[in-house]
Amino acid sequence: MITALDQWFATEILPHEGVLTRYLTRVWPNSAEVLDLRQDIYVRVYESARGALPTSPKAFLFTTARNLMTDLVRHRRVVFIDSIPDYEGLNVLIDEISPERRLSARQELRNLARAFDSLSEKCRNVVWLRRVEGLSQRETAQRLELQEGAVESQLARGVRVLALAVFGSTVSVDARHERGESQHESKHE
Amino acid sequence: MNPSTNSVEIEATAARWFAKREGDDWNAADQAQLEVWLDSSTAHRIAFIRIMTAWERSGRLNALGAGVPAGTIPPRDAWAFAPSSKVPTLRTPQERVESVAGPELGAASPIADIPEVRTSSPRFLRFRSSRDTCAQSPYR
Repeated sequence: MITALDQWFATEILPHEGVLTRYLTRVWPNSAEVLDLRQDIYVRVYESARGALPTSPKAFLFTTARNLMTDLVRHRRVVFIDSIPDYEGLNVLIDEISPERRLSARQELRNLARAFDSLSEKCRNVVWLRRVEGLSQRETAQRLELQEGAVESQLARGVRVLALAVFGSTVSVDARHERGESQHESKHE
Repeated sequence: MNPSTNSVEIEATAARWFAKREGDDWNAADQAQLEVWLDSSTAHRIAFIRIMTAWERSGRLNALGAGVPAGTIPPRDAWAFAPSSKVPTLRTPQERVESVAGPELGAASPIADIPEVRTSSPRFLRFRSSRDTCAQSPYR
């Protein structure tokens, strides 16, 4: 069920999520649209890669991002002056504005620990028992005296917060916040 | 023309599928439904891959479990670095560019005493398959 293309996407594209998200936030006028925009970019990248894998995934990702933003603007009927993307930003070489910053193992752990600590008590306990102690969902439920369904929903919530830490995309936390979703207060850089 | 507007919703659904799949009652019928959902949209598939990858990489949290007695859930901020939104106590420059994990886990690190627990590298994602072959109730 998990294909080679999925693996490729996970290892070659997703690690750039933090940089991509910051880039989009910087150049796209409406920050509330950044997550949707990112999703559309991912879809385009994934579908283009079905034919042949790009030789430079990162460059391909950012070129796709730029093209998509250009397309979106072109097709908008009304362009308000304050909703024009920062074209200067769009045209800057990606490597200049966003040198690749791979998190060190320790930074990654620190970010994860913060995200983990930002979880609600229940959620945090569930994540600990599942992820660190390796208990099954049922064992976790028994241990915490919760319904298995509750464990499941806490896990679903927790993994989304951890994803922000893993991919270093704090910006989406703000976007979520605007949408009234739970957020955590991790500052990555 | 606007960006699609459902990314947050899709992510939430992907996370629910993920959590469901982690459950003890996951079965072939569930799997079939998941596959339908995954195949119905590239955005679904990507959201799911992203959540799976995040969980996989969260395995690094195991490093925090070193020294914690089994059966104990440590309190918040039990780690040797500053909690959220404070300046970290790490002494290394924050913006350093590093490509390889490991060597800097040295003397100055407040968590140097936490042994590295080797978790699977993202390059070798393990997507659980052992449970993909049982059978029962549908998702929701």
